[in-house]
Amino acid sequence: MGALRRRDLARVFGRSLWLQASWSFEGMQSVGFAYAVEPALLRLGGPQAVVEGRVRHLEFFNTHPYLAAAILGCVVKLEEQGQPEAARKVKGVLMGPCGALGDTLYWGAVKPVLLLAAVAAALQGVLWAPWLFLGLFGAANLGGRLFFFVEGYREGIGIVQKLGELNLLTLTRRLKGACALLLGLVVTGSATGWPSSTGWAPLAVGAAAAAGAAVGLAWAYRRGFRPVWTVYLTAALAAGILAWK
Amino acid sequence: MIGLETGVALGLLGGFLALDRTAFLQCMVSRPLVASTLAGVLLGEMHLGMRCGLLLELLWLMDPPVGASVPPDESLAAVLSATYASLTPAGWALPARAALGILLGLPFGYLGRWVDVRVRRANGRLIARAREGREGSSLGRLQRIGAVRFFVAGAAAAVAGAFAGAPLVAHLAMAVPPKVVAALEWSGGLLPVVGVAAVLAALPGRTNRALFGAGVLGGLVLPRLLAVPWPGRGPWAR
Repeated sequence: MGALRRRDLARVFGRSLWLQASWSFEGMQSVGFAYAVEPALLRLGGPQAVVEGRVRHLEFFNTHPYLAAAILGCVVKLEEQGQPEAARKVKGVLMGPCGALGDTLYWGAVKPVLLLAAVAAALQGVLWAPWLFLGLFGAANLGGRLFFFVEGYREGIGIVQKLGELNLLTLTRRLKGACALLLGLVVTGSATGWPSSTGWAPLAVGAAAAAGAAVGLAWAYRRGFRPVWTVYLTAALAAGILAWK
Repeated sequence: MIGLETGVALGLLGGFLALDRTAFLQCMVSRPLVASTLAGVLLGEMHLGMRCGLLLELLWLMDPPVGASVPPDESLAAVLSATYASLTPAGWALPARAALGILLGLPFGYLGRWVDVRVRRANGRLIARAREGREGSSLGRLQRIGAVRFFVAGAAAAVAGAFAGAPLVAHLAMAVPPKVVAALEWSGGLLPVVGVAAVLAALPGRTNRALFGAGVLGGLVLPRLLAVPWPGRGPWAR
């Protein structure tokens, strides 16, 4: 029993990768969080601390799985400083903002921009596009988790200010802009794969038609029309046109 | 038809993807572009798997799991779309094969979500066990139970979907008249636009619209300036 060693922190971080292993509607990530924090509690206060900590950390918990590392680092720090009640409270305070930040940054920007780049490359016939995506996203995933965990542990409650200083929302906005740019490239790529589009002028007409169709459909989707319906409607429409011809 | 070995391999892939989707790491192997390509590798049709994957990817790219919402199981749909597409005659054009695979595999995304919701509900009982702190309910054990449930559900859904749908697809593919094959080829070519629109709907604002327009122009002008093939002119795109 005593201060946390690097080995204990590594075990906590390793377990955090299983944060959602027993995800449920009742507690969401609560069991995963309690499981991740266990090695630290064991080191700090022995088996009794684990039993007490289990009660504390089995409360409802849900946030973005990557940003959860920041909360975990902060909680471990507070437990080490002998502030279990503060550790319990900080989870409740941080899970909402970290969830929103992680959803916007990772699900809304990093993942789409890397996947759209991979889709654009795949349309070009680049066969290693999926593997390149996996490598780049893996670096953003594991690198991000490790960074957030280390900073959470280093800063303790100061992680709130640290996350603000990182200016992640500006990064998110720029990445979304990159998404829009890549999307334009993908729509041109899809149109230039059409059979009739050979030569400069037909390619331009094809790209403009595809872009126009995409803008029109996007307008319809924003008003509740479902993209999945369009998949079947497209097939039905193509069959109808060919039958009529 | 699908052999036993392939079925087992697809099941393992389905289970592994279900783990990645929720339980462990979320390294995005479960995204349709990757999952479908992996299924294509297992089935000996990597190009076809990738084609199915990129179409499904665009369709579900902006449908992430937020809070208690459970999105359609895009990994299961991707694996089964590639599987069904691989059962179509090799003589068909690639977009036609991919389109039929997607039309048949897409509904499994919703079936997969139904299964996923059941697993998450069953996991609710694990919290009560954890709180009671009974013997044999260490958190490590409960975590393993939860993860195994995700894996088994994903594997079972993939195997069931592959074996149940395979005979139907094989018969259907043989009975499809040439005009319908041509229609599938058309729709296979149009589906990326449907997917692009789904992503575009989630990127509102004047700046994003301007950047989208710039991307369309860039896609036309840059390859010409750089003297490389236009996007979509790859060796397997058609």
